[in-house]
This record gives sequence, structure tokens and C-alpha cells, in this order.
Amino acid sequence: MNFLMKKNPVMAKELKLVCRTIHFPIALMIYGGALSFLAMMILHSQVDYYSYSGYTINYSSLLMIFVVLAIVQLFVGSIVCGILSSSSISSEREKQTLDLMLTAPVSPLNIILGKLGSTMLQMMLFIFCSLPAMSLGFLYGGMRWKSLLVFIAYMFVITFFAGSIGIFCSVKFKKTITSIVVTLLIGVLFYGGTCLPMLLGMLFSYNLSSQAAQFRQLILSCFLFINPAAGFIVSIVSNYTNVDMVSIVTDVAAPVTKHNVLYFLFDHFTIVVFFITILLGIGFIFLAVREQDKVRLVDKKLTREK
Amino acid sequence: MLRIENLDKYFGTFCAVNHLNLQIDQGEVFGFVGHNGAGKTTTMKVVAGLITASGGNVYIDGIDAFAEREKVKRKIGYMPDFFGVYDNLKAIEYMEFYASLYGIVGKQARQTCLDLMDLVGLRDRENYYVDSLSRGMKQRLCLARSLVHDPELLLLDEPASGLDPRARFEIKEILKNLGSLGKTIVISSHILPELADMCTTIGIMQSGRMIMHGTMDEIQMQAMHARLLKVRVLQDQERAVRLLQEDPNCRKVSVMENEIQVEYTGSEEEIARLLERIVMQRIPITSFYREQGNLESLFLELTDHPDFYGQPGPGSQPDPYGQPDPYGQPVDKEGGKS
Repeated sequence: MNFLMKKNPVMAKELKLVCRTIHFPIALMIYGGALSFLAMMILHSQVDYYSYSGYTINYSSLLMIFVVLAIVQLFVGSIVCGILSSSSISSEREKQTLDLMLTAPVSPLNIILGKLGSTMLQMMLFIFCSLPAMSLGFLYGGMRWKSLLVFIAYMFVITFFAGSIGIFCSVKFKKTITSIVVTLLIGVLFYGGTCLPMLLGMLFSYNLSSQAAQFRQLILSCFLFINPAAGFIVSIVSNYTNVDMVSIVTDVAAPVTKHNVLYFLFDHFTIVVFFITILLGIGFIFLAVREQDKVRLVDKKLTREK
Repeated sequence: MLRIENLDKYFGTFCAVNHLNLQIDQGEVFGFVGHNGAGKTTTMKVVAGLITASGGNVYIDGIDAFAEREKVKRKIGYMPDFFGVYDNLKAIEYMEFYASLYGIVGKQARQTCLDLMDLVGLRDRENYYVDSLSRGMKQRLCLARSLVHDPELLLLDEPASGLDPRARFEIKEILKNLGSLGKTIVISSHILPELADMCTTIGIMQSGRMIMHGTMDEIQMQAMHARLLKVRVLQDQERAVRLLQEDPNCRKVSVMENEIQVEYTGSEEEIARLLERIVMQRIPITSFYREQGNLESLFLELTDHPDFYGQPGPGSQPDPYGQPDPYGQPVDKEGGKS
């Protein structure tokens, strides 16, 4: 704890405050319980289906547990992490403790990273608690370690992304409630709004045979690169099905050839989205630090003017 | 230790601090007085680096506070006029957290925090949760927190506000103790007498301007001059008023029922001469005395007239009273009865 106190006292304090409350272990228990219940329901429905239909049970279908739990956690994790971080700075402001912190020689970046880090650690603890339920697939075979590691890595990046949006809103808006609402709206924009151009393109372009229409559809699909959920879902789903982004996009967009840059990007869709998500998160943190550091920036400007 | 030069702070078009100049030397205990909205907290926040200035300079120990903000933060201990506390932290953890923000951790932090809690009389409350402490205790804890990095300059924004008399006394004693340790302290308050027995110098702010600044003795002297002169006559009241208005030391003459009240700036000798003149005019006087003056009446007197003493700065509103510097020309000679 002393090491963390020295490196980032804000994070150390946040973790101490969170772990001390009774709400945290209760929330952890409810989360783990709900996911286990969901896993049991899927298992039960699959076994029931095969026993009633008289077919031999297809164990690979039980991998559905992993896919469903992963997607559920993607959205729950994003929402919870966004909400937690969007109240972090604004609640300090409301409690009037932010001013006390800002009079100390601790940089705005350190405060923001401390807040974000503690939120991410809390969320990752939830994710690790879900691993036993997620690993049910190992019991029946067919599940790969790689999938689990990809899931953990992606969840880490997703919590970073959602957390950095929340932190930015928390710094930008004085009231916690405004900050939470705007965070959720930005989240909806990234997760849902980026799918809209592609879906609208498909809806209104009945004839995709012309090259121009296919090209337009391809461009509209590019918005998916800034959709962390799309990258996550494709990475999880494509591990257990034959569906991948290249097949989705090349079906509708002939201009994508093997020599095309876009082909390369779509071929490595999950990795590209992974890194773009990290960059977007860094971008939001940068904006948050700039917003938090306004006093110093204005001071510098004033000094220059003199 | 602290030098403020032509400090301006605007919130939109509203001028909160207007061309403020101030110099506080090492070891001085400076009382910053003014009623709510006078600009005390804004000035303190600018010095502490919590809000930006619109113009001017602030130097702390010779260092430009705007250019080297991080450096001066280590020299300042700031205590706001509210308690910023966390619900689930114990008093000692609260202290240790703020110590860690200044890079003080481990055994050194624990020892420093315990010593400071001892100083403010909270040593026996180290394991109490902060939200379970009384208001006075929280205030003392906040004071201890602001001392955690051994700052050279302490900015205390209304440290005794909202406290009961006992807690006020305790805070006062601690501040006197700190003053004797050689710390430079700036204490703001809207009650001038509250600061009288612990400050070495006083500055009175009004509408963002420093309307009076001086040592405690100078202020006390001013309080003597701010007392009202009260005269009662048996008859010829109008003649007496005219006579009083002719005196250059009379700032304002008003008649309340049968009593003539005079804002008189002259010395005791001048009062004696004034009385002599009235008697020579054969006006029958039944009473002639100067009321007991105190700091509170001086403060009320000074802050009663917005913009009375200051010169209008750029961007400020025109003086609604149109009154010149009272130390120069006598004013309101036409005032008569009010």
C-alpha cells in the first residue's frame, strides 16, 4: 500500500474507500451469482433441447455459454465502468475535496489516472470473478485458452475506453448526474451510432451490384472501426463460428480485394479495433487532463502575455 | 512572503477583485476582513492556484506563482471555508492521504500526522471516522491537514465560521500558537473583532478592493476616529448644525430625534476646540460626547459605503455615491438632516 501511496495516492485512497464499504463485496457476489445463474440456464436449455429431441448432445453448442457471458459482460462492464468513472471527479467536486487535492503538487494526470485506475481495477475484479462461470466451456472441451485471454485483454481495453469517457465527462461537467447521462450518450453513440451508417446503407441500398453502391457500403462500414463492441463481438464470435468481418464486408463490397488496404484492415478487424479503442481512450484522457489543467494553462498564457 | 500586484479577477463582466495590491512579510499574521462577496475567498483561491487571475502578479517567497505554480504549491497550506471530507476514512488516514499527495509516506507520514493531530488536540481521535467528528473537530482536522507539508504560508479561509464559542476559542489558540512558531498566516473573516487579538496586520476589503490596510495599532487608531460625536442642545439646533458643518473635520452631520450625530475625524484637541466654539456662540448644550468606538463599528462604518475609500479601477462601475477620498476633502457638507 505504501508503494501505491507513493506512486499514486489517489488510486490508493480510492481503492481503500471502495474496499471498505459493504456494497462492494455484495455487488461482487450478485454479479458472480447472476452470471453463474445465466450460465446454468444456458446449460440447462441446451441439455433439455437435446434430451427432448432425442439427438446426441452436441457439446460444442455448450460453448454458447462463453459467448453469451462475454457479450453480457461487455455491455455490463462498459455501463458500470462508465457510470463509476463519470462520478469520480464530479463527486469529489460536490464533496468539495477536489480543491484540497488541487492545492497539493499532484498533477491532474495523476489524479485522473488514479481515478481511472481504481475504477478499472474494480471492474477487472468483477471480470476475474466471472472467470469460473466463463470457463465452464473447458469442462466439455472445445474451448481455447486463447479465447479466454483475448476476452480478458479486450475487457481491459473496453473498461479503459468506457472509463476514460466517464472521466472526461466527470471533469467537463460539474454535476454528477449530467456527467453520467452524457457518458451513457457517448457510449450509445460509439456502440450503437457507429453501426447505424452501415445498417442504413444496407436498408436503403437494395441493389448492391453496382460498384459505386458497394464502395459506399464499404465506406459506411468503416465506422465500425471505432466501435469497441464490434471488435469484441467479432473476436469472440469468430472463434467459434465461421463468421468474420472479411466475409461480412466482402460479401457486400466487391472493391475489397486482397491487395486493398481496407482488406488488410478488415482482415485484422479485431486487432485494429483493439488499438483504435486504446487510442480513443487515450484521446479522452488527454481531453480530461487539458480540462482539469485549465488553471495552469491560463497561468502560462498570462505569464507569456506579461 | 506574499506579494500581490494589481490583481484582477473577473467572472464574466463582474469584477470580484479589482487591482488588489498587498504585501505580507514573513512571520506576519494577516487578517483579511470584508463582508460576504468582498473578494477575500477569490483572492485566496487565486493565490492557492485554484482559479486563474484575469491580470496582475502574485509572488510567494519571491517566486512568480503563475509561472511556477508547482513550486509554490509546496509553500502554501490552504484551508477552505468548508470541510472536504471522505465518509469512510479515519482521521489519521485522512491526514496520511494528504501527506502522500506531498510525497510524505510511510513512518514519516504517520509521525508527522500524529504530531499535527496532537497540535490541534485530536491525538485521541486518530482512529475515529472523519464524518463522526464534530464540526469543530473537523475544522481542527482541516487545519492540521493544511499543515501536513510544513508550509511557509498558511491561507485560512474563515477558519472559525459556524463554530460554537468554545471551538472558536480553541481554533484561535491554535492559530496564535502557529503565529508564534513564525508561520506567515493569512486569515479571512467577515468579523473584524474576531481577528483583533491574533493578527499583526489587517486588510479590509470591499467590492474587490482593499479599502484599508495597516497594523493592528493603526486600525485601532482609525477605530477611535470613526466614532460618532453626539451633541444635544436645548434650543438653536439649526444654528448648532450649521456650526458643526463648518468644521473641516465633520464628515457628515445628521439629526436623530433631538440628538445631532456627527461623523468626526478630528483629534481630541480639535473636539475640545469645537465644543469651545459652540459654547462661545451661546448655544445651550445639554450633552456633548464621543461614543465608545470599537473595531466592529469601524468595520461597519467602512463597509457601509461601497467604493467609499477606493479609487475606481478599469472596468469597474462608476462610484454610485460620487464621494471623494475622505482623508482628503471633507464630504457631504450639504448633508444636513437625514
